[in-house]
Amino acid sequence: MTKMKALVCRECGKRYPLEPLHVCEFCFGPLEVEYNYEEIGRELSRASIEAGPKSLWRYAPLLPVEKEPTVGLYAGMTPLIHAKNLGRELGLDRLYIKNDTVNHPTLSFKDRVVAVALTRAREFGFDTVACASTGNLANSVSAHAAQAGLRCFVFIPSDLEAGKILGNLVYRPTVVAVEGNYDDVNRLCSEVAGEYRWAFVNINIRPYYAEGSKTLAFETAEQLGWTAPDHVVVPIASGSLLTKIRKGLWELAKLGLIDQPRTKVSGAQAEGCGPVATAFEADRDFIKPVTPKTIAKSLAIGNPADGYYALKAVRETGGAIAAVSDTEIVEGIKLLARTEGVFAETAGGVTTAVLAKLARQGKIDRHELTVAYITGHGLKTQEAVAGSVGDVVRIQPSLSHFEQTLQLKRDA
Amino acid sequence: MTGSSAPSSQTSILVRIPTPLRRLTGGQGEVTAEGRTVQDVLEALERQFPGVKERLYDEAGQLRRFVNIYVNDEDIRFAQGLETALKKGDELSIVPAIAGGESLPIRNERPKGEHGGSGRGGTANPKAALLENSSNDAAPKAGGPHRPLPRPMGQSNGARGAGASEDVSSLPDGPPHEMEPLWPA
Repeated sequence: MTKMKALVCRECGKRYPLEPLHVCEFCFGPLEVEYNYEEIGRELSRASIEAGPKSLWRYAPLLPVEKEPTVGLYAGMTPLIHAKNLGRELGLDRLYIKNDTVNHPTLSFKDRVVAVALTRAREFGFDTVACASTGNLANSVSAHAAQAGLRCFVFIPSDLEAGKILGNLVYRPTVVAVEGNYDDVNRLCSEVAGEYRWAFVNINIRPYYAEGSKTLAFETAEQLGWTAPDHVVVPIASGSLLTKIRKGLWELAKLGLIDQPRTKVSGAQAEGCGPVATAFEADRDFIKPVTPKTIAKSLAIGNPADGYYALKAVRETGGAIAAVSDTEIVEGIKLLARTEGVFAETAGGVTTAVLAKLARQGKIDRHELTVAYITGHGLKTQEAVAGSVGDVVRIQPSLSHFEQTLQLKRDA
Repeated sequence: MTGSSAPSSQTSILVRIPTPLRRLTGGQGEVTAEGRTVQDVLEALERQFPGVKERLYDEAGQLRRFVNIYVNDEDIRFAQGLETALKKGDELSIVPAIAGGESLPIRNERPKGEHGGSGRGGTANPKAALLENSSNDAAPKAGGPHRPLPRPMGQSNGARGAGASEDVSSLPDGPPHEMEPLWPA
């Protein structure tokens, strides 16, 4: 199989063999997989994809693995919801929600990248996997490692939501809770990765891992009948997801599977951790790291690795980046639940609130076919909304008490 | 006042060298160089340790994007960039951002707090370990089980000597930015 040619530095173009490497030793830029699109194009067609498995592996020719997938066989192919109710509230006529709150097996988009990363890690022969995580990634690595029989270490900030901590422990990995924020965790993991022969999915496996996010774009286009959206709204943590969604759409066009996209790519951040939004606003092309302080812990990366590329993608496509407050995030979660019956975690609240904001500001046109990416399930971050969604109605087990309490009138 | 003319007004600055560049400084993690601006100091560094500059600057003469330079604790992009003035006692840190690893590898490279320690003895970034391994051909720890050496393809030995463009043109598979045409600039 020759679909992958090399790892290439995004900055200086220097080429490296297809190994567990992630950074250019010459100029320190990030490495990315270079594909042989001619070769891929010979095998890949709409029909071949449609005949594939009902998972992200239907796009295997565009994913950086060499053999048959061995981990995460059921990830992906989540619903694309025509969000008519939410669209009506926001004044958007053609709004869709890509609902990764129901990804398999751990209810976030991270199941995509982990399926790819662990399949690749196995190809490399690793027996131990690890990650630095704000929560969702750790959940997914833990679950997939359990199923794949791999030794697993996950590193998380110690102040994570209870659901995300439990959502690791149940799979019996070693969960290392680091006293610090994600950027501290990540820095520690960078050092650990230098000392142990482990597959750190978002460090030494990152060039492969990150490619898994492209499948969100592939699925969106296929589910829209092989067409690209006019506008997408994507949450920004490291910035990788946003850049890969863009890449995915453009790859489909390069292979002739869709028309050349004119998709505007917009980004969503929390005000309490919005270094990319701030740079966008200030028209800067470098990111000033911040110390995160937001309820959107899954987006709480103060020093986003791919922030520069995310900014570039947004600017090149004519999109926008906005940030929202914690209050708006909670309102966003409730709005999505109330209108579409989808319970998103805080990151989904960020995306929904930014979607609303951009619509209000006229930065998304009402006629644009818009897709918002909802990346994780609300049951993981119950703390965020626990105090603001009302309470149950308590009654005695009697019909009269029921009617009396609710003051209902019987149907005639 | 010794007058405004040259050498006496030069300032000797302590420069912290990240692990990946220590091959060029004979293994030294801290060196001194003269200069009144960041630019001056980097030029002086190049004179002392030829090869440093091409690692820090791109072909257009700009500081590479994933190279961060701090004067004391401040990123020079928030001061006057390469023109940032230096005074006696200032310390300059060269720190590669870990683009692939989502992290700022330093919090504080100065050895004042508890955390400062890792900036000195240990390596503050993952790549540093990779590169150290590649330089002594030992590579027993980092990376995959069957990974021999993290060396650029088509490159003779180590990172020194050839410029990026030269290297790339010697590769079998064509120009370096073949991936980019996914979208026009």
